[in-house]
Amino acid sequence: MFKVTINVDPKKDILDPQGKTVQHALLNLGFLHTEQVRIGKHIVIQLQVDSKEEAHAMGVKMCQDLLANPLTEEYSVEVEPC
Amino acid sequence: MNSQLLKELNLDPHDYQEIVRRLKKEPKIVELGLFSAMWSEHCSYRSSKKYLSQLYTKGDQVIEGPGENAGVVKLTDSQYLTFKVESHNHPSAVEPFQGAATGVGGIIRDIFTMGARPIAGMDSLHFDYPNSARSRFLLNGVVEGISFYGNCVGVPTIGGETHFASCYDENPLVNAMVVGILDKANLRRSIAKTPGAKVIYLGAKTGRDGLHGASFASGVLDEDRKQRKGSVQVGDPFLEKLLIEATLEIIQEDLVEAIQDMGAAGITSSSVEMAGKGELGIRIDLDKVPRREPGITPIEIMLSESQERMLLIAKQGKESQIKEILGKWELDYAEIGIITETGCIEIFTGETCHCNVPIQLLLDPPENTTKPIRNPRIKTLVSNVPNCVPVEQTEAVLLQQIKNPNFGSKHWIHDQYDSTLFAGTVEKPGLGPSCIHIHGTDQYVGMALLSRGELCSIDPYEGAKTVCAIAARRITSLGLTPTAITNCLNFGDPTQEHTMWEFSESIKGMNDALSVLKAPVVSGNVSFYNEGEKQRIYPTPVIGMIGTGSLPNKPTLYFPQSGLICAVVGKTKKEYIQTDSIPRIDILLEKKTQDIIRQFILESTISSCISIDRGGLWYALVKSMLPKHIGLHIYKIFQEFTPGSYLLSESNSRYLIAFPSDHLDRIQNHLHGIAPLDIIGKTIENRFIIEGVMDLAISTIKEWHHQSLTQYFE
Amino acid sequence: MLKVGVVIFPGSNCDLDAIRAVETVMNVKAVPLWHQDNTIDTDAVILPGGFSYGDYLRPGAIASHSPIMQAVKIYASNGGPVIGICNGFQILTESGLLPGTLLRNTTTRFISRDVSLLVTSNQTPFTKGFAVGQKVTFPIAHKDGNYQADPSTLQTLQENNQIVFQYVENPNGSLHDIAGISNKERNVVGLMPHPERALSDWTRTSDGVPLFQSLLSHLEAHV
Repeated sequence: MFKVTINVDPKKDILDPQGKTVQHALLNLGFLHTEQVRIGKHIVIQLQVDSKEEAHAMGVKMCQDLLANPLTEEYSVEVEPC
Repeated sequence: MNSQLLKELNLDPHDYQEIVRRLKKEPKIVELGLFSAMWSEHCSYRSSKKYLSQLYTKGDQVIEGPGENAGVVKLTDSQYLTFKVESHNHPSAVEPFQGAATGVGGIIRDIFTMGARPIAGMDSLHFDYPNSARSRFLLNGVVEGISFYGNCVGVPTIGGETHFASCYDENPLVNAMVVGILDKANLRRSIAKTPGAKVIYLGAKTGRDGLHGASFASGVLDEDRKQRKGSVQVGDPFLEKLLIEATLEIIQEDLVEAIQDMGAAGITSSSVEMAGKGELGIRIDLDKVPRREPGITPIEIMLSESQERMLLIAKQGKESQIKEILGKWELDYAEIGIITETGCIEIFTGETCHCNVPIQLLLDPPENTTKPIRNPRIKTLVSNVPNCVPVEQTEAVLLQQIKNPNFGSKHWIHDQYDSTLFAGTVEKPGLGPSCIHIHGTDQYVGMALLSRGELCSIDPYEGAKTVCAIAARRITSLGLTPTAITNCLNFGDPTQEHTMWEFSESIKGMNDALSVLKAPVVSGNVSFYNEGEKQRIYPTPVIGMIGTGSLPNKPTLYFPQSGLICAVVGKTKKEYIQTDSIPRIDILLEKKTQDIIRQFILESTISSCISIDRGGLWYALVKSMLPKHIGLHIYKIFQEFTPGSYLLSESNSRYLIAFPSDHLDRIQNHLHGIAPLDIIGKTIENRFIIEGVMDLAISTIKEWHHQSLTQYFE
Repeated sequence: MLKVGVVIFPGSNCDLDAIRAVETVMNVKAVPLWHQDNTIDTDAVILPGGFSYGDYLRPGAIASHSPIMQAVKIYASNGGPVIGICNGFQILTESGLLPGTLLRNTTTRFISRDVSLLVTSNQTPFTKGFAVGQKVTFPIAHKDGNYQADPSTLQTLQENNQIVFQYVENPNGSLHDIAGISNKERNVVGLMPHPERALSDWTRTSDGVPLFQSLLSHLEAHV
């Protein structure tokens, strides 16, 4: 069993209206050092497969097929045994 | 000049030679970028201009016709309405959620730019049948995009249409219409007036979003085009809401002399058009333009299509007041340039000049000279409507018909749109026309947005004429008078003679209908190149009509109670959609019938009224029966028709009406010599009965109707 | 002269409807309260619907930290009548003025339709004019209207008769069909449906009129 941790974030060159609005709110609340806010999704999946490589490949495929929008989002996949 | 750059800019080599000839020099890169955008089909209307100039556009009610950000008509002595429909087809084909969302954002900006508060929207959507996975992906994304943007920005979406046909497989259509209301004094135009006036940029920062969007929309949608673009445009409805409030406040305080949103081709088109209309020049300092990312180049800034941006020209001395209002709404303020007397657009970073060309050259591209010639080999595949329904199959055919996604309930879509904001929406979406009350007045505004691509593909002239007639028929069924229209003309590749034939025939058809119906065109949009690699769409002119008037009673499209006489006004003939012919339309008869029906409604002679159009009497009946579960007992003998073929006839200029029996004489007298009155039965509680043929509970009909989309999505 | 304050946050979009309801039904002056204001001098406060700050992060989260909400907290603790409609309800739960929270609808989609509601308490300044058990129809228009609270909170709500409106047919998955609640003192009410859009039979239903009339008679009796 492997735990696959996936982070899906807006691509760097894409506008992130939510991140921008939250940054503004943090500045208003006095967090004056807030340079940038980007808001993405954190997805944890448990996979019953044999190897770490297999789990990783499956995580990447899941991102490509469903979890991430390739036009607007980028993703990272991390795997650890569990 | 290297051909790679021309390709990237989607600039035709002939155009390039023409640019060099007119400038009498090699253009700089930024100059070339400006030409590529301004001469694109999307911005320049180079294929359609000469046809559009023939459109019927005049009328006492018209304050502002085509050419402005949106058309303006008179509502009362002190208030105007402004409205327009626009397409966002290609972006929606690539990224349906953001494509549709930014489409809604764009049309809303066109409306508040005129000084109006946007009060209602509608959408016309066309996809392949939802049994295709890609079609479901597109429909789901587009509806979510409209829902996300429209609901958040605060413009109720009160109706529209969704059609399915396989020709929209590669190239779906997403057209959005918005209506706004304004006080007479707040009308603003996009014409620069005063040399020396400051040019102010407001709204979102500029990124590499949707680079070359204008030229993207000016070519056939193939794999290459889908890949070749900047980053996807992302809509921010919250920022747009702030822009609406700030802009309306700035206009209310009379601080600007001209204003335009940055739509296709961004800063380029807004600055060129405002200065060009005033026959003035403009100088822009790119260092002052707020940007989202480092390293963005001058040509990228000029062509960026980042959303939620406006350009305004300040009245002199009012700059600080503008800045103050923007500050209140937490919006950035940047003075990026100045209006000049040169007649040229000059673009600088520091001391470096990137561009200095006469604006009138940018606004005057060579015309597309493709001749409009019919190619008889181009056949359209239209599925025939059942026209000879055997008596024993009546029930099965009728039920199947309303489960078809083209005719069944669209509640799955409408339920995702806020349709009741502003508390003026008279009816829920889904009955055909929509209607809103203008608070503080006795005025009602009806809206009808529709198309009949399948008719236009068989006969673009008669088809376009029919679409206009139906729009007016629907407005009339509310008791209102057609005021004006906006159109979104969705066609194929304009370099093909057949496309231009379809286009010119449609324009003629619209003109012949609108001049009789007294509904001039006040705004619109042309979308060419709606073709994939495999197929072309039906020629699909979409008509958005508004009607206005005061009403003594709440308009009732559906049966209000049992015990009323139910009748069809107008002659029902054996007319159906066939591969080579469509139902005929007599526009003079259409107009005469409309005038009588309107009088019936205003004098409360009839209790309910709905237009019979797409799907025939059967579809009109379904819409009349479901809202209050009031059904109908049909006892009429259908003469030469079987019941099914009578109910599915698509003859034009007909209405389904219900009225108390003591009004019968009056109705017959008024219709005498103009249109026949076919009494078909009496309204009853809860059932739909055709004597001796079928007997169904309304709840059964509702169940079938309800499944049309949910069968694919839930 | 009575005055009712209508709070405007960046992104509020039902503010005009709330103002119109106050002015036409109650015939009382409506005063816009700006999110940056930190004092309130009106006789009641309405937090209207919309998408304050775009509903980014969580609906109502950013608005609940604005200066006006600090003022609303003091105002409410002094017994001032406060009603939050739709996004206003979300802001009230985010700021802790009402218990529980509003999650994404179980359908995961935005829902816009007319719903039938049961009035379950007429002990608040906003519902005095209704009968308990009365059915009313208001439109809903939200994506995050699924009311949830822990079991002890629900028990408290029930014991103190703080549930004000219940859905006849639950559209969004709300716990116990809850459409609206009040605080223990009953001066703060939040609901997801829109009474301010239900003021005329021409626009489908006028069932919202008694809500504003209730507030008027409450203010006339107490101010």
